[in-house]
Amino acid sequence: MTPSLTALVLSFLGLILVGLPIAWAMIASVLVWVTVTGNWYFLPIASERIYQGMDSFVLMAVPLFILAGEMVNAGKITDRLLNFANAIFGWMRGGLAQVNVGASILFSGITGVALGDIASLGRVFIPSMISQGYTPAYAAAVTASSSIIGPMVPPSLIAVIYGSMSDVSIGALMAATLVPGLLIGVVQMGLVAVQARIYDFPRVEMDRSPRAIGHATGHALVPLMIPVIILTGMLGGIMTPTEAGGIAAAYALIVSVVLYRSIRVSALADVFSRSALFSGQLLIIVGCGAAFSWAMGMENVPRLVGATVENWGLGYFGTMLVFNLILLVLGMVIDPTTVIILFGPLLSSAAAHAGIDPLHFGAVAILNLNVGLLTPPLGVCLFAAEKIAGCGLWPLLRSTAPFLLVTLCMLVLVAAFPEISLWLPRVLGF
Amino acid sequence: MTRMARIIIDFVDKGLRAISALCLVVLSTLVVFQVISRYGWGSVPLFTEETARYAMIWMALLAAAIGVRDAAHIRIDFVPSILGAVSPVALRALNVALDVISLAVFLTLLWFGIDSMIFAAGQTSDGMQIPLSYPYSVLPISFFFASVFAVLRIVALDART
Repeated sequence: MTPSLTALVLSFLGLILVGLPIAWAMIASVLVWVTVTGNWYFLPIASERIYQGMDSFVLMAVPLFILAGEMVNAGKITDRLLNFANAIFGWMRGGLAQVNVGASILFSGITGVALGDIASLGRVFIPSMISQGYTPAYAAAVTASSSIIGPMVPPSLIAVIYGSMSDVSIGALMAATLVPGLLIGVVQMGLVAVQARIYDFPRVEMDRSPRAIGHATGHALVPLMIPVIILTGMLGGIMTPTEAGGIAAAYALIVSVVLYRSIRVSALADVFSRSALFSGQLLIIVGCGAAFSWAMGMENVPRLVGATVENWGLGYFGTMLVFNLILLVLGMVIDPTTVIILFGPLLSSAAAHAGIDPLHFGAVAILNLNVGLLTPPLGVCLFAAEKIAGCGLWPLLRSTAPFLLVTLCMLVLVAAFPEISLWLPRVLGF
Repeated sequence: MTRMARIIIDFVDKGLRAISALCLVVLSTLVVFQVISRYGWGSVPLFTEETARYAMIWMALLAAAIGVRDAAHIRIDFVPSILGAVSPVALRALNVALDVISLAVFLTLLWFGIDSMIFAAGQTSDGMQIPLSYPYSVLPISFFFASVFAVLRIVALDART
């Protein structure tokens, strides 16, 4: 490593570690790098990169998906989904825990953010699970573990950002993560079923007549159309991901303002404002990340990494293993979006040298990084669930461990068998 | 002086929030309009995609400036939270140090943002036929406000955390 590259990497790591916001740490380390190289004319280029990094039509899907999700949350559409999840999953032993996982799958199809899932579902499920006799730690563990299904099921923000960073199609990527995401849901439900037998969890008492179930389904149908619109619009080649996001937001607006009247027009300004602020926080990292990546490009990092991987000669499985370990460690300390922005294209092109399909690698990387949301020291989903349950971090970690284990097994399977992720996109003709 | 300053700051804060939300309204409307016009009358005006992109960049950069005031930017708060449990004074010192580093970043980007803007003035946009310095002006504008908010945090005039 040249001295300037060392300065770039070390100052970035040091600054994010002491708590400087990630976007500013990227720029600050680029400033350090420029100082070390002495090439002051790099500075205006770096500032222009921030602008150009955000200047993309594809990236516009980010604020639009966030807007659609905020609209659904503000429109209190959550209740309808919960009743529906109760109707289809509640009959099992450990019913409420099963409903929690099931609702995460349904809900994730609408917001696509793991943390958003905990904020809205956790506040409903954790207290009601505790009142039914589950321990607070278990309630929090199920909520946190199932929330990571969110970014796997379309619409997923992380897939949009990954797709806009590399030349993988966003639609194909969303199709590639869908099957692994659903499988994780199934496996987690299987785990809950086993635990329910051992610990004798209660079932959910509710009216289960065909009429009641039909009623619950009918009520959920309108919000469940959102993922359907996005998927068919995008995968059917009718719309770009950005346009699908726009149509989904417009649909959510019409449903909650006109049809259900659950958002007053005066509250609408607040929905737009919150979405704009949240989008800004993600997009500024994309912009600043473009400046950082440009600096890494000037230092020939992509070529270096590619050459190193080729020198190792690890082959398909070896490379997959090493890259997954790298991503797991990165995902433990940095949030998934930032890892994708910084290392996604880099690792993807290096993986291609070892014969790994970029689409397959994208799906594996997204799954892998979401596992990091469940591990300390930076398991944001764990912390969020702990805050609601108030159970302490250690008991929560113990209860999460089995879920983490089965999710990791799924990661190994998805990484080892490309067919799991590539089957659906191939069928759809990507 | 402080009361007057507070009124001005709150006004600027509300204004920035409103403009950034308005940009989101514009960009979502334009994207929906683009789909409708493509399937409705088979063609899309050139300006829609371009205007929507500019609206997104304005929204994102202004939101980033507001995020400085709200301390809402994504960061790893592992070390600060441990430090806060050990010594609140040390945490306060670390926070001031981080705000000073941020301010240095913002002032640099403000300076070179003006540079980029002047450079872009020579080019014209494809869709709306406006000088590119117009959309680029958001770089210095938002980093100016980000600097102001960072200074307010450092002098602790602004009590938000």
